[in-house]
Amino acid sequence: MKVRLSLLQQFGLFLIVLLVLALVPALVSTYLVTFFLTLLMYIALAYSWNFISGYTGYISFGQIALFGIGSYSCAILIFKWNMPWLLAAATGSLIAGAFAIPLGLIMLRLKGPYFAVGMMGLFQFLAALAATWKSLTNGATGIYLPPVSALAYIYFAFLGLAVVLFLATWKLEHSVFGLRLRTVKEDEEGAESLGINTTFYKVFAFVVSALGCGFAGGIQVFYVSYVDPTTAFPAVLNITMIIMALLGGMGTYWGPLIGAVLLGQVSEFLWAHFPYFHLIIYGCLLAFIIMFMPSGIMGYFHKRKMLRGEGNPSLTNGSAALKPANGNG
Amino acid sequence: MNETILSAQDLTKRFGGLLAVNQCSFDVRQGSITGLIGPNGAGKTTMFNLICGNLKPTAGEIFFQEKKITGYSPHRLARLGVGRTFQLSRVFKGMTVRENLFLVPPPADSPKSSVSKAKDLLDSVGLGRHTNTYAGTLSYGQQKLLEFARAFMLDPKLMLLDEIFAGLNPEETERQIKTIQAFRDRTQTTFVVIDHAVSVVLRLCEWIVVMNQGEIIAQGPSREIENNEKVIEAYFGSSSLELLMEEVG
Repeated sequence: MKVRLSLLQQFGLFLIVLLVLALVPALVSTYLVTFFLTLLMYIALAYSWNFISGYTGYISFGQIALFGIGSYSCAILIFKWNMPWLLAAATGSLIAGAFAIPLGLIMLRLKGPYFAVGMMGLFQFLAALAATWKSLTNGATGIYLPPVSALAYIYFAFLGLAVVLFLATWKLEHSVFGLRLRTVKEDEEGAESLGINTTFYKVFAFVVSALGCGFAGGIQVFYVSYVDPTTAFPAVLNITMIIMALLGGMGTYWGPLIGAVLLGQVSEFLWAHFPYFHLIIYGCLLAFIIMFMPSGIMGYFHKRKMLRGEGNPSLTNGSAALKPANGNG
Repeated sequence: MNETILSAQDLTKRFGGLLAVNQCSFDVRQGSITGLIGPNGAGKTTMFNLICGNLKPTAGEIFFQEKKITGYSPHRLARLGVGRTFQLSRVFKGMTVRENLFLVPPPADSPKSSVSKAKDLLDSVGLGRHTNTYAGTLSYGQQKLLEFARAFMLDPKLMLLDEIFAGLNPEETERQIKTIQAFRDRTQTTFVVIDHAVSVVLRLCEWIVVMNQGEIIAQGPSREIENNEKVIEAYFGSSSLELLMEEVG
């Protein structure tokens, strides 16, 4: 059986889900709100990572560096200038995005493992810088901020960010712009020969990813009311966001959502039921998934569809991508 | 129509101690089908990479429609109207045939929409029935045709074909020759063709440039090149004259 929803139906469904999510803070316990807001942060980060690594194939092992830049920018803006936190988080996001332009122009010249390791190095470097640059970051002591007045604000901020990133990814999947971005992953030289400025597309994706990570960092800082090098540059989160996108299927728009929700639930369940072994079971589970579904859950279904010889219905029959788009770059 | 569309002047490319292309100069006439031949390692593909901006020349200049284009990036050249296909086909395997064509940024002065242009191009290379097929599931010959059609989305004025006949069966080769000729007649596109199948190149091209060890050893109308002794020697060694004559037929 095949269910194919019209665009209007999809939109309706989307609104219903959004409404339910918006009511969460009013309906459930504080514990569940914190669980959901963490989940939303995971979703936002997985989408941010997916934007650059999933669509262009430039696997970043240090995208959390931009989360850290967002965190520190936000904390310093609140601490030194007493800026309202949402504005500070937005500014932090913009700073991370602006930083990503020269960074992308330099780093995205590296390919494959060199880019991955280069980003990891950058992440380590920034963490070390944050610990030593005491006049700005207060070093390892960190910066303390006023505590959060209402958890719901944090929840809504993460919800907003996750929804924006989801919609941006959806748009990517349904546009000629997205097709051009995907050519970077498929064959950069071939794309260049067709008049596609691959540098522009790569840096664009990198900057969008930085904006997402930076904003998440800013909200996170306000949520924990504190920033130091380990909370701004969390090594575990760096890996978690990658695994979530991988599990769901990188380069797909449902992938990061599915991966984040699944992994978020599973790790919470394991942690609650096997307090001593949860990391072992978790690790085995991940190894198992990567062995048998290397392209993730969505990637697995996509591959099967491809082998059956069916095109991507959203692009080939829909009209969205076929409107003449003028060449960019 | 005897204008020069592409002109290479003293083009040199050095990779460390290796002179891949050494002071090569040649002109390509507007509307012609020009062949670039030579044994393996002669520097043919390096020459294409220099023209298309994939490599920067060590010395020398390139002019396209009397404009100096030395050092331009590949995407900029493509937008100017220099199209190419690659030795190993470079279709986007994870996208459908149609998507492969749609993603090409339309030229600013394109009279037709991408949709109708893509349809026409796919029909003219015989892929009209495969529009929704993933490019990766096509046969190798079909992938080469797709790559050829895709490059025409640029409305190229100059089209460089790197070993477009390699891996095609005789029937497909015939069809490809006809397609190139038809495209030339219809769109006035200038072609430069690299290939190892000398007989095909001699038949298809009006003008031939022969390279050996990074240098141009002969150029002229195909009829003259056929009998040029330096060319025969470069290809087969001096004793294999009969072999070449046999192949040329």
